[in-house]
Amino acid sequence: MNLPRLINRSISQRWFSSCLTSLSVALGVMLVAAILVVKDEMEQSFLKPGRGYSLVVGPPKGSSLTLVLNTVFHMETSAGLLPFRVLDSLEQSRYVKLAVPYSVGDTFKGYRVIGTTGAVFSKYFPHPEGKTPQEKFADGGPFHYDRKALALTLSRLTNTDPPEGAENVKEVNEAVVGYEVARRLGVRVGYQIEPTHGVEGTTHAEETLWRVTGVLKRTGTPIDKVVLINLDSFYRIPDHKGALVIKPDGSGLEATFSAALVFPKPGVNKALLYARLKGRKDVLVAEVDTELRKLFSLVGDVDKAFLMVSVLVVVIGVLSIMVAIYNTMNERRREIAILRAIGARKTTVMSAIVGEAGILSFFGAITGLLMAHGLVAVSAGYVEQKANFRPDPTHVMVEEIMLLAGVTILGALAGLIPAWKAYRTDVATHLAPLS
Amino acid sequence: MDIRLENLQVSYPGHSTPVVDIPSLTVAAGRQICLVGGSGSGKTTLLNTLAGIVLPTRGSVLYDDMDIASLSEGRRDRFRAANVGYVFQTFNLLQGLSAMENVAIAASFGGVKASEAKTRAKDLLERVNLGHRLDSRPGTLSVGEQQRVAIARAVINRPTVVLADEPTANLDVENGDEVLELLKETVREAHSILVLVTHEPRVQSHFDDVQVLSEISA
Repeated sequence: MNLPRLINRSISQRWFSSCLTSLSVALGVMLVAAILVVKDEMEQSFLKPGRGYSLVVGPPKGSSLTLVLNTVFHMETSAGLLPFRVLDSLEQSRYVKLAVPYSVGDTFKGYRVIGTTGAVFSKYFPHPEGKTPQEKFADGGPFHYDRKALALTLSRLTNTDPPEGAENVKEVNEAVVGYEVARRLGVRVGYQIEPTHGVEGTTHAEETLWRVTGVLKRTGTPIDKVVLINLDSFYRIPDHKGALVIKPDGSGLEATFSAALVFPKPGVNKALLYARLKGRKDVLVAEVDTELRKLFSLVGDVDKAFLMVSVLVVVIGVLSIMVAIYNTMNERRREIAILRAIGARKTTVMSAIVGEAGILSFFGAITGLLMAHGLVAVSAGYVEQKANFRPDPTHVMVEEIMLLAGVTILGALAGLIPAWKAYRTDVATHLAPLS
Repeated sequence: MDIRLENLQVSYPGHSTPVVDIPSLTVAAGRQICLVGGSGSGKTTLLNTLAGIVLPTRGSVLYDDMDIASLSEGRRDRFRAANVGYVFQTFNLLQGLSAMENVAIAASFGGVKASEAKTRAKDLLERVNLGHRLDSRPGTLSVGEQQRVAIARAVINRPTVVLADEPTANLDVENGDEVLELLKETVREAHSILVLVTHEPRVQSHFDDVQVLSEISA
């Protein structure tokens, strides 16, 4: 009972300097915790979307990292175009389980529009919520996708013969929107939306509307911020004639797409497929996991440097507690002598000093953690704008608990020096009446 | 429990003559003794030696047959908490604590449970007519009231001995006399020995047993 009372008394008697010393710890802890939280959130936001993805195949331009960022994270602009025969070869490969083409170039009120096939809703296509449409969709379901409709559309574009049974093909413009698109724009199933051309959002030459058939569940990944449309409808937009290129042999035109997400069959198939694709000059292949690790090894060094500086600030804060208590030892000596004279043991007096340092550090650390989350909350919008991910201020990490414990222990240890001075206080000398 | 001083000498480094040099002195249980001495006569050092705060250079301080100097520092602290009450000239109350907390904390050091310590502190403060100032901080109390809190603190553990070092030196005559009588009464009620040191002749008149330090010293 005595110890907490003594500590409380000592802190409240010097509340202003106690607050200041705690604040110095808090500032250091805030920096460390904010860096930890933002780093973790950044890793999560980059690694989470990458989970379940395997290979990305794109045009042989730019870097592998750009290809991954462009296809998985929907960042940057597409590096170029791939002819559809690449998709055919991927779909027919004995190593491939699933190939999902992406055609990009349009936006809907700032959100990227991706033309793709029904494969994007396949059970093999990763979605944190599950495999079935019921598990993936918050409302509605997949858009209608028909291979023949795509073949028909492409044949029209390239002035080639339509596929067999083309007369029975149902041509529809349908869209599935990500969770954030639906939430922020208020889009619901059954709504008609009109994507615009390019990032600038130029209206298409002809008004073309897409009917929303489904809203995906929230995933916390970039797919929340895209609009998926059936691939054939993408090519029915007259403005997308730029997706045509001359065949290498000059025998005519062929349609192109932007990139493909490729999911190999299990086992050695991935390695074999990767080796084959790597050997091709007409494509660029990137392994999602490898590229993300490379990215984090670059970012990691920078945040390690930040972290080290922040840890130094924490240590300086803790040392300031030691200095502050040490500087008050002269005025404390008389109190210590009185306490000893009325029966307090040396160890009680020493423990009170160590406890005071520990408690100041603890409250400093708690304040620092709260400030860190406050800082994350305040800067979340800015970070999202600049780094394309929004840190969650409510995200609490185990490392923060360890930081709290570590700073408290470090603070208590720093208190040992003034505590030792208290331990050695000569009672008789300091009991003498003050002149 | 009696207190016996045998060939007690206390010297400070660099001083050729001992500050305290008492060949023999016995204070029987329950007695109240006033030791008179001038400035520098070793009054405070003697009390600190009785409390085990200062160790004798020679001789012994015996509580019955136990020599306090033979105890380890930790055991001396425990002994002091349970057996010694101290009243200082300058009261020496802890500024951040209320009157009740100042009294109760001494009981806690003596091993008394917190709830019991509070009850005892409250009773004692009522006994010294401070029942209305339980939650007052020392700074808001008059000097007389502060010394009454110090008296309550000194007797809360019903110690073997209460040591009073010039307890009235900072008080006016009226307050001094009142505090002195209160000190004697409460010490008597606690069945403790009272050893009071003073240089004031006025204080001696309150005691039957008055000893002049220079006379009992070697």
